Amino acid sequence: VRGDVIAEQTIQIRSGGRAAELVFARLVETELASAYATASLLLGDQNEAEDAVQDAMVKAWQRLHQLRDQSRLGAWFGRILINQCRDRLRHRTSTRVRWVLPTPDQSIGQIAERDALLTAIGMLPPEQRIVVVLRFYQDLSLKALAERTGVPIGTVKSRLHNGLQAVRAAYDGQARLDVRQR
Amino acid sequence: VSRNDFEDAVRKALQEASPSDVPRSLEDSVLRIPATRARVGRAFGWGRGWAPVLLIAVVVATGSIAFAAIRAIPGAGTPQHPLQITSPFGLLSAADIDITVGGASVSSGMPASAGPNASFTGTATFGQVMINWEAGGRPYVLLMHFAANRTSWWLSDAEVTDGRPSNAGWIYFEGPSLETPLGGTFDGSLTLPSVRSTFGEAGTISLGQLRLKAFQGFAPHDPAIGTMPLGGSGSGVPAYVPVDTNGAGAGYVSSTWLTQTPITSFEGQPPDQPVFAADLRTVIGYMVAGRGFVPGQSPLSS
Repeated sequence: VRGDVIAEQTIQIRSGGRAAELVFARLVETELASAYATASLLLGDQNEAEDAVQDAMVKAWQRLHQLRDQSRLGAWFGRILINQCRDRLRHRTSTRVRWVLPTPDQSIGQIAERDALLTAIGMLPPEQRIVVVLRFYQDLSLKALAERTGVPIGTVKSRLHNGLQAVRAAYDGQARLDVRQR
Repeated sequence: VSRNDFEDAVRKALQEASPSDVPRSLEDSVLRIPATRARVGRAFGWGRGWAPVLLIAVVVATGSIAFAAIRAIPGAGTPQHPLQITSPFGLLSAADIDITVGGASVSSGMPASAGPNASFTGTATFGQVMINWEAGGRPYVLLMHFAANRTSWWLSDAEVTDGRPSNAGWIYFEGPSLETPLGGTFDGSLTLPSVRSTFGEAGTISLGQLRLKAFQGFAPHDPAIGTMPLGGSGSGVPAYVPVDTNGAGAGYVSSTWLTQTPITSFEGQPPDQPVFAADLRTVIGYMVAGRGFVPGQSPLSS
């Protein structure tokens, strides 16, 4: 926390061109890991996530002058990243399914349940997938989701509702399958 | 299954599916972005207004800038110190840091480390190291800026926070200092007296057993004079001016320090990298349209 305070002070106090490099360094430091994880979940492909984050970072650097409020650096970059991922999702011609290796303490049932959820999330239309991942991975509020995706809160709610319904169906279906197998 | 259980299952699945580490290749490529990509639009943090002027600066202007006496004592050894930062761009280590403000020492001794936000980055002609640490419950930030030409690199200026526990001010120091052949390492001690400060107090900073190297990994850069766009509009002063000392390219300098004029925009173009206003503060002359090179003359006074 102390480091963040110092970095914030640094950025606020300085007003010259070097501030851009400081802000960008802070962006990388605070957002890169989260951005890569989010892009991986949205795209279901870590190589493509790497490309998306790289493209988003380039865009952020090139558009840094558009950042009006440095305290909202994360949200500002989040929008750029989501736009990158959305473009990639929209231009896809096939759906990618992510495979996750089980950890030793997980039962087959747990793994099947999780994979069913992930597969269902991966099958969602891009706009629904984005709100589901941002809501449940980044724990964003509805208001933050609306800002991040650039749509009204009502639209966010309906996308979230419809997306969760589809995922829920897959989840319940897997649960019924588990019961039958027992 | 309750709604809460279901939502918890979704959270858990996403957490488990998320990658735990950022690939090194991504981290490296992202960190290189400022050095390899030009920004577009007006420059960050600068006001609007400046008219294109065909002026190109040159010369090392000791007379234009109120240089303080800078004492660099080369020669000391370079043991491993707690304060160390290394990066692909450079390395810095020192045995101690002492800052005085108004004649009193406000921070002496050894930071435990270079700090969680420490960084050492740069381009072919501009570099910056940032170190942050805490001493006596007070946070400190040290920024040092470096410039390079085709043959050497040097410390162009530095600043450090003044030790106030909150709303700290800056103590500013100016070079050039520590001039070292490109590819070389400075070993020695450094004491810089301040040239100004946020609250008007005089100060000093001393770095003991300093070992410093910057611009490693960059090929000597020969500025392509005449190809660098002088973006912006309104002020009548060039944003950046290529420097050429005795035929040795010296990078790009900003005229904002001399003029205090906000610069609007700047875009580097390959193979030149963008250098930002106030990064380099030594102006040695100008190339004026129709007049050629005019040494040692500020456009404001011409």
